[in-house]
Amino acid sequence: MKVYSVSEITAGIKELLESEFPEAWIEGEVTDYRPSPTGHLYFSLKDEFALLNCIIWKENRTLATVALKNGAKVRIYGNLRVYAKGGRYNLQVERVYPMGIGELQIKFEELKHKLAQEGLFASAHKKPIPRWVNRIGVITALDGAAVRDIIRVAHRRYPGIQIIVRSSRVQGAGAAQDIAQGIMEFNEYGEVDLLIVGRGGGSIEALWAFNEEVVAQAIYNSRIPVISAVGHEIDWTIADFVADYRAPTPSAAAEIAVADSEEILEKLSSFEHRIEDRTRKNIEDARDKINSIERSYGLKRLFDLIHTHWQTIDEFGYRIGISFAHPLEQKRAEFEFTVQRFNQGMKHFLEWELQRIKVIDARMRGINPRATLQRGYSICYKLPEKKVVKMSNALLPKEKVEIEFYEGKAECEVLNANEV
Amino acid sequence: MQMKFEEALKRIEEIVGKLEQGDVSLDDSLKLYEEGQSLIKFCREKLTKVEEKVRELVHTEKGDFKLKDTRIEKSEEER
Repeated sequence: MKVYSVSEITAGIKELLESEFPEAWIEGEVTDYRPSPTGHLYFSLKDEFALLNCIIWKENRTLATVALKNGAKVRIYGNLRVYAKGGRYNLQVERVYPMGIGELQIKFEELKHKLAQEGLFASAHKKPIPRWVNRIGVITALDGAAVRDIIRVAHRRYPGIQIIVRSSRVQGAGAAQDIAQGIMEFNEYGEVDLLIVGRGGGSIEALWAFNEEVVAQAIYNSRIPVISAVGHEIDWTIADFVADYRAPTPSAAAEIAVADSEEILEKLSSFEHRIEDRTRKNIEDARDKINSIERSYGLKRLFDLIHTHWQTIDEFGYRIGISFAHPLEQKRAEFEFTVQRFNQGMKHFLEWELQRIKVIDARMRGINPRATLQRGYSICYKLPEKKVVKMSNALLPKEKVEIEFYEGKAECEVLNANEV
Repeated sequence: MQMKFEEALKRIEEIVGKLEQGDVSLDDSLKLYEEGQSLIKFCREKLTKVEEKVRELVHTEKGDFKLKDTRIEKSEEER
């Protein structure tokens, strides 16, 4: 009669159990659910006649795709472990799915988990969708509803959009490879701003190609931003998780990809008005400023002061008599000359500024500011500062100027410039 | 001048901002006005362009790509 020690027989049981059930799928109802403060989850799985103790280690907690709670009907996956010291066995759980889940769904969850771990869904990797695109690439079946929807919506939003379609199988054998190949080809071709990858609605089997890893990797590796557009609103595929943007349907993808040209045209008109109003106002302001200088108290005061002096001189001359008349006359003449110069200078300055404003105003008012040039006039800029030359005495011989014609420009050197 | 549409739009917005902020000289405001006008014209031309054509990307045997004109029937919802 063979006699075992407790350790010996437990070791035997451990080996038998663990080798017989290295992994197992088990369905049952959750009971006695006890999350521990350390983060591990303890519960039991039961059916009518039996109970199985289960553990989910802290690090595997995220693997549960259904919320664990008492009464939940689940299908779990894990391996059996014998805990020798406590004389117990339990199941170390690695996956938790709802009871009755299909094989494809499990495959989906497995791949989703794997790719998430590998960082394929990381938002840091997602490329921004450009606000404005000229050319989009579409990867889908040429005879499907998706391509027609995309074209219809895209053309409605922006009639100038260029659409390039890469025909691809979207279901059945080889479809996933074909889609992935299409994405790679567009990247090699390079001349599109954005890709839409998708198909119309269908069963989970029909959409399956978009749940294959090869498609996920191709989307992930695409340099061109990708919008996924698979099936209907409720269908989520792996491609949707990897894509830079997930559109609920192909039509929606086109809405997102292609900017509404009407909207932008309206925006442009409003910008145009604002630019025009502002420029006009700047001109008005400058004109007002000059008018106000002309009317300013300071300037008037200056003239008053001059007049007062005139009077003083006159009175003084009158009082001291004719004998002083000669030197006084001289002073008087000098003074008059200064005043005249001042008046002229001021007038000149104001006129010049007003003239400048008039020129700018006239240029702005013309619908085409270059209309003047079209009539044969040209503009002369002093180089290198590119300042408009309005008087010949602003130039010296040998200085360089640029002349702008209606079409084109010429760089010239000054030979001679007249005094004004 | 191969300016990108998006850059042009951004520049127009910038011009509006600068002008509306004030403190630009008269000369500068005219320059901005002219630049704005020509950018708006550029954008309008792009926006009102009509293509309405769909082409197919074909990988040739030589390994390069060509674009083939293709006809895709419009969907029934088309009005």
